[in-house]
Amino acid sequence: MIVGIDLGTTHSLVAAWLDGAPRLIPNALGGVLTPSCVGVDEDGSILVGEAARERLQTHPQQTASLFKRYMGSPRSVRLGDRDYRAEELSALVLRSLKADAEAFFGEPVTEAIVTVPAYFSDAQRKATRLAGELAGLKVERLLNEPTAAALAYGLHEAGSETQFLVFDLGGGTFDVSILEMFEGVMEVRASAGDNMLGGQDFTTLIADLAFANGAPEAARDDPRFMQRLAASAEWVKRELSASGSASLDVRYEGRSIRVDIDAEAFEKLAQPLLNRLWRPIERAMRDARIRAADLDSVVLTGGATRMPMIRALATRMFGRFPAVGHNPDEVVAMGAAVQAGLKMKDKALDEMVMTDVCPYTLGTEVVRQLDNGSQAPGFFAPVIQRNTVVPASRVERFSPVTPDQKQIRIGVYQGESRMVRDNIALGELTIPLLPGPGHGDGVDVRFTYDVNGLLQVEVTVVASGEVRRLVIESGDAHMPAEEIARRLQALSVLKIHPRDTLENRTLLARAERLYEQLLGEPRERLGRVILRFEQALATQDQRLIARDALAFRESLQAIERDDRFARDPAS
Amino acid sequence: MTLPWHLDILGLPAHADEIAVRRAYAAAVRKIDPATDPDAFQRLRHAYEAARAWCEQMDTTVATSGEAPALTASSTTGGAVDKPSPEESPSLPVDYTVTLAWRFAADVGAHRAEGIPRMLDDILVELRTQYIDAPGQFEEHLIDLVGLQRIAHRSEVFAAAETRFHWDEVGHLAALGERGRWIESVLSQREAWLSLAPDRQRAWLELFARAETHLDKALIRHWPEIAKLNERFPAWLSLHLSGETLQAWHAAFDAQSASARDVFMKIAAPETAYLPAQAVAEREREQQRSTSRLAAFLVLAVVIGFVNLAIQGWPRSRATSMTSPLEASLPPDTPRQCVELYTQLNSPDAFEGKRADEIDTLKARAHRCQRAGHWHAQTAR
Repeated sequence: MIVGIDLGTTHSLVAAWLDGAPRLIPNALGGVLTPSCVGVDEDGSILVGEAARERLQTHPQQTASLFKRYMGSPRSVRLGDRDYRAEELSALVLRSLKADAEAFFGEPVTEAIVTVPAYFSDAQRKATRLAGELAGLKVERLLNEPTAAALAYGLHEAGSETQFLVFDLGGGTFDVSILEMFEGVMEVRASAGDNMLGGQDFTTLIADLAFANGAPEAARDDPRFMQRLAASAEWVKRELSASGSASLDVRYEGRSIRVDIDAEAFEKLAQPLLNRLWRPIERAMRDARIRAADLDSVVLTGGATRMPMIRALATRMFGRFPAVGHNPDEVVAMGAAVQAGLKMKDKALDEMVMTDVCPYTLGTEVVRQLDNGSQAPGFFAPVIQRNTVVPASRVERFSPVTPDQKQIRIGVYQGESRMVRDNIALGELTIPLLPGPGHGDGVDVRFTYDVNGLLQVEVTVVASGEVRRLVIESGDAHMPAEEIARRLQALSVLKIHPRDTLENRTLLARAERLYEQLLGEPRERLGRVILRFEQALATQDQRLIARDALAFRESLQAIERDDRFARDPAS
Repeated sequence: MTLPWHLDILGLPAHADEIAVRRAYAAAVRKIDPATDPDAFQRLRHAYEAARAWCEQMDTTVATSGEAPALTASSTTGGAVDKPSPEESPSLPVDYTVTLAWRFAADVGAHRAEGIPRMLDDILVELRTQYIDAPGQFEEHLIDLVGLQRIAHRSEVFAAAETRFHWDEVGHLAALGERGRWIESVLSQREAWLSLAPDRQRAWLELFARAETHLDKALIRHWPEIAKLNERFPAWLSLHLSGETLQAWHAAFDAQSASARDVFMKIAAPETAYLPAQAVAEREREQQRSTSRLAAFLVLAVVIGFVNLAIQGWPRSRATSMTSPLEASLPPDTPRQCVELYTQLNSPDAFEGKRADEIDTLKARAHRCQRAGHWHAQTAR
């Protein structure tokens, strides 16, 4: 069984291809969205998902979120007594999803299709693959998120001939892909994106209002306050989408800060973010050589596209209403399940073929002849142009600059700048040149970009036929094999909170969070309710616990509904 | 007749249309797993892309040969910098972005160069209230305005547009086609220009500015230098000097007596003035020391061409093509004259009834226009 996993910035999902259709798999709490949050409990066990999300506010030092944003970077966070890299935190989320799938199927799950933003770089892709490895999953394929959304969408359009655009604004990343479908072949024509633009940035804008309206700058150093503020801002963002106005209510050191905001003011505030949406779309459309009128539909995906201002912008940009009918939070995972079905050669998908592109330009460094005959170093020579269909393999021949040159250095870069200094260096390789005949023939450089978006470089000396390969080990975030083995070992001994009691643990975490948000009499009342539930848990009488849990949940919901400081975006 | 290789791979007859090509590809691609057999996929993909490009070309040949862009349609009349006037508006449907481009040109003509970045920012804000194609369409019109010298302060406009429209992105320039190639010529010629001695640059820029306001007698003696600059940096120079000024300058020089021209040639800057200042300084040092320490350990490479199929015709290597003596002797063409020349050459009977030397002249002019980066080269092919 291969599962499809959407490893998102704010939440993750797992799905599978079942009986000829994609199917979402519920987590231990019965939901399909598992928050991408990881925390360490008092007893040292690892909490993943909703329980960890609830603890963001009460235990910010022991909880991590939004780590997808630093995938592939050497940055790490300290939880309890240990440092974790984004790969490891993602591995813990993947492991939790794997456990959900195993509980669902009643058999071990070892293979997965994992989705990544189309605009993820080589380093970020490698980190995602490593996260899978650390979670005990063989990553069969890294699938681009908008492509996954298109697969889920295209499933219903099979047989028709259509061109459409996927506008994917998730929690942390923005991707655009343009697809063409004919004869059951789904082809990505172009992708572009912004890895640092997502729903979270809109939330941050709202949170910053607190500082413009009375919260002291010193409050930024208070992690509990910041998490509380983030949750409140998230609630405001959703409320604005639903009802058009809301107020941000937070308390800092006994002082109440309240900011009223309406949809219009929010849109004005978000204008700089909205402006950043244009460029990737323009770019993808130009690369695919199409105009708005050529598109048959525009598909919105990613939770942030729920915001009315995003829908309005998309409507104006393309002169039509975007396609609806899919849940924007779920469509990527559904598409990953379709890909899993394709991988397993399921009969229902017999007629479907999908090709994707490499969204980046990849190339090498050259010396160039300028127009006045002089030579200048440091120029970028593309080998694989952006939006080339993958797998792609391209060869370029390079010759030495001088007749007595003893070696050629091949620098490998990713980027769009004409000068290599402004592009991302992926690696380099130096190859000796022998003097004598054939010296000037130089070398053939072959770039091979596979379906997972990973690059290989091979250099052949034309005269001698000598071949060298360059393994791209993405810069400072690279982990050698021993390090991976060590971390795998370290992760495997971590105690994971048992799945069967996770629901009650989550309820308690939620109650603790509420307890911190409340003041005075309501707080005391909640304290008594918590105590009663803890006593019930201590009896270990499953029937009693189940009954108490129900009552406990109801009283928590009542508090969240009635108290303006106790709001939670997920409830 | 043998079939083109791409049709052969797809198993199609010579008269295959786009639908047949897609169908054949769709059938073939199902039999290949790209993950396990990337080479077979590559071959099929190359064939498919070549076949589609081929079909597209057939289509355009059948249809009325490529209509000129909206802005060039009206560009055969009027001076270098025109304000839009009703009788001159393009004959094609005037869309919003064309109007905006003309308005921008008029504003630039009426104001000082310092205001250009802000004016362009305002336009970007306005474009973003429109549909998604608008910024790209405006950008194309803007490139046409600058390339065809229909806007004032071209180097300032270019500099302001460069950062706002991502002209530093190689992929973007590739997607812009001929327009991108023209931008690329300007950028690379600017690179070379900026390597010249700073005082030379300053002095020449001053000459350009003076000539643009009034081509007085004192300037005539500088023509040999201007001619050399125009050979080396034609696209870059076109941002500073209009084609009309160049022509007038050349004509004024030719009108001088032979002895005067000789003197002017002699007092012109030496060849080293057109080389990078650093290289010249180094050469002088080397000569003084008279010890040649050759850089035997150069670690970079030069592109010489590509082995695989070029799917997009992006100019990878820009070999410094030498100017023929004939080219150097001819009066310079304005961008607009280049457009006319290409239109002329584009007709099937372009060389009919022409003498050999006339044909050579036409070819030399076309070659020079191409080097200047006027993107209309495409229609001339």
